[in-house]
Amino acid sequence: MSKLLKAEIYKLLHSRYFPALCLAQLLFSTMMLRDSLPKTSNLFYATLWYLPFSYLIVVVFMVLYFANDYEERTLFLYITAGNKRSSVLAAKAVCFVLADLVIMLFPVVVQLTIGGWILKETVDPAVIRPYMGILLMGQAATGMMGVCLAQLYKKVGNLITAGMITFIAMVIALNSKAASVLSAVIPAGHAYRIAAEQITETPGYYMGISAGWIVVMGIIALIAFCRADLK
Amino acid sequence: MNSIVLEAQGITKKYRETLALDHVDLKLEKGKIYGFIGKNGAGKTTFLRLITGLAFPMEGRLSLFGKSGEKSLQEQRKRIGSLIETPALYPYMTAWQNMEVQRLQRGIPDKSVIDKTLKMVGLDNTGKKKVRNFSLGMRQRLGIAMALLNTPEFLVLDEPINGLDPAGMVEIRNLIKELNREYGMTILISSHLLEELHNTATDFIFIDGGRILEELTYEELNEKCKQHIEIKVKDTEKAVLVMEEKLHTDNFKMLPDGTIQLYDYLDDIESVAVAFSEAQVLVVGLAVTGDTLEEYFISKVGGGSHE
Repeated sequence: MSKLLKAEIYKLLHSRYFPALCLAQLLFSTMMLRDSLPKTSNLFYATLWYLPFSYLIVVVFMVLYFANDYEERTLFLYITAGNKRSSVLAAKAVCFVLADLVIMLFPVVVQLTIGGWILKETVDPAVIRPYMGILLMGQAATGMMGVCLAQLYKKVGNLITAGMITFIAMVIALNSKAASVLSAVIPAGHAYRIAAEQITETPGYYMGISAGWIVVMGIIALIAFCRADLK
Repeated sequence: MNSIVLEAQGITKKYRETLALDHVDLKLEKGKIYGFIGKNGAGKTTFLRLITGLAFPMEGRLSLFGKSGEKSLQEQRKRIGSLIETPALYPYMTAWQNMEVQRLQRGIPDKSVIDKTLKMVGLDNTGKKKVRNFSLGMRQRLGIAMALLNTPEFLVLDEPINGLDPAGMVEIRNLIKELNREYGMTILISSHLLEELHNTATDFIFIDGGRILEELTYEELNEKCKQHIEIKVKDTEKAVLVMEEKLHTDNFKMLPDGTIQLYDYLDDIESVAVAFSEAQVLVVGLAVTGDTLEEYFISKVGGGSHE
């Protein structure tokens, strides 16, 4: 799998969309920061307040990363070269999730560094540390949803539609009356709960929920990919 | 047993209601160049996709290098190079970068193999030009280069000369022959350019409606396509005597159905008719015949396409 991972990382680093999406997310989240700062008690929470809304960027990334590979049939090169389908999917999933973490969390790091300097507000690392696991696992689980959707809806049009529906459903769920419950079971809501200082359970609880999503999404994606006739 | 690269037994594949492959039995021997010939929708690409692991058969058994079972098959596919349909390329990368992705995913340690292979297909001087700016012929060459990167033992090419100019076709033909000669590479090529295939392949497989119609060696095909007088008579033994004694020739062949193929007197069919008539041999059919590969193909599968 390591050779496949190397190939995936090489492709990602030579793409234009990856740095472009990192930049887009930085700009978007920086704009939203003006709105979230008054609603939260410190800069760290403010950077996470609108994070669930940024998943639109993940949808775009999912389409560019997976659907293009299906459309151009470049994904098939891995299969015809004799690699196991499970290894191919694992390499793509790991690379996608890692890149997704970078796209989503790179602005948080930049904002904490530069924003802290501009606002003269330093965030104590002790405030951030307990939430790191929740945040990383939540983002990884959201990324795995993208991996799963991409294996179910391979074509660009279908994947955009499926991604948008999932995104809108998530936004509605996190703004509904049941948001306090749903934000705990939807990994994308964990960032919002951190921002709203509503982490009522242990970090292990939230990380467990995210791990559950990762496993379920991974299994669905694996079944869909390993049994598919690739056209 | 080791000389068999691929063996298909009763391979069947259905897409919804369409039967793409219908109990295909086929054996490919090591070191030969096979021309895979069929109309659009005949099942060629479906079969190639099964070989390369992109699709799964619904029935039947496929073995590669003597190994079968999905796990073993996938392992054996490391010994295959393929170009299925149009080349699968990363448009935002250069030719070298496309090759580098393949080198990395195949775990080939030596980077110099990229330049060597690009040179082989005439793409060694494309520099920083992105693949999206390549012509169809250049893309095709790059697709072939990617298939050759691991110096495969078995090369599967689906329409490899699409989009190539005549000089390019000759180059690729020579390359295929050279690979076969130098490395003993077994090659399976599907193409619509039948005369080009005729110039390249050593064996021919005709497929239609998902079934293998016929397998012929180059010599057998030439024999079938050779210009001759086809004679159908009631009394074949007497007809043979007439040809030997009256026409003074033994350059003929007797087919199992009693048809005689005479390779002399092509410009003098009248003398043949007269000789049979004088010997009172009842002739029921007499015609000069012989095909090009294209004509032979059409006579086997008919015109039009399944699509």
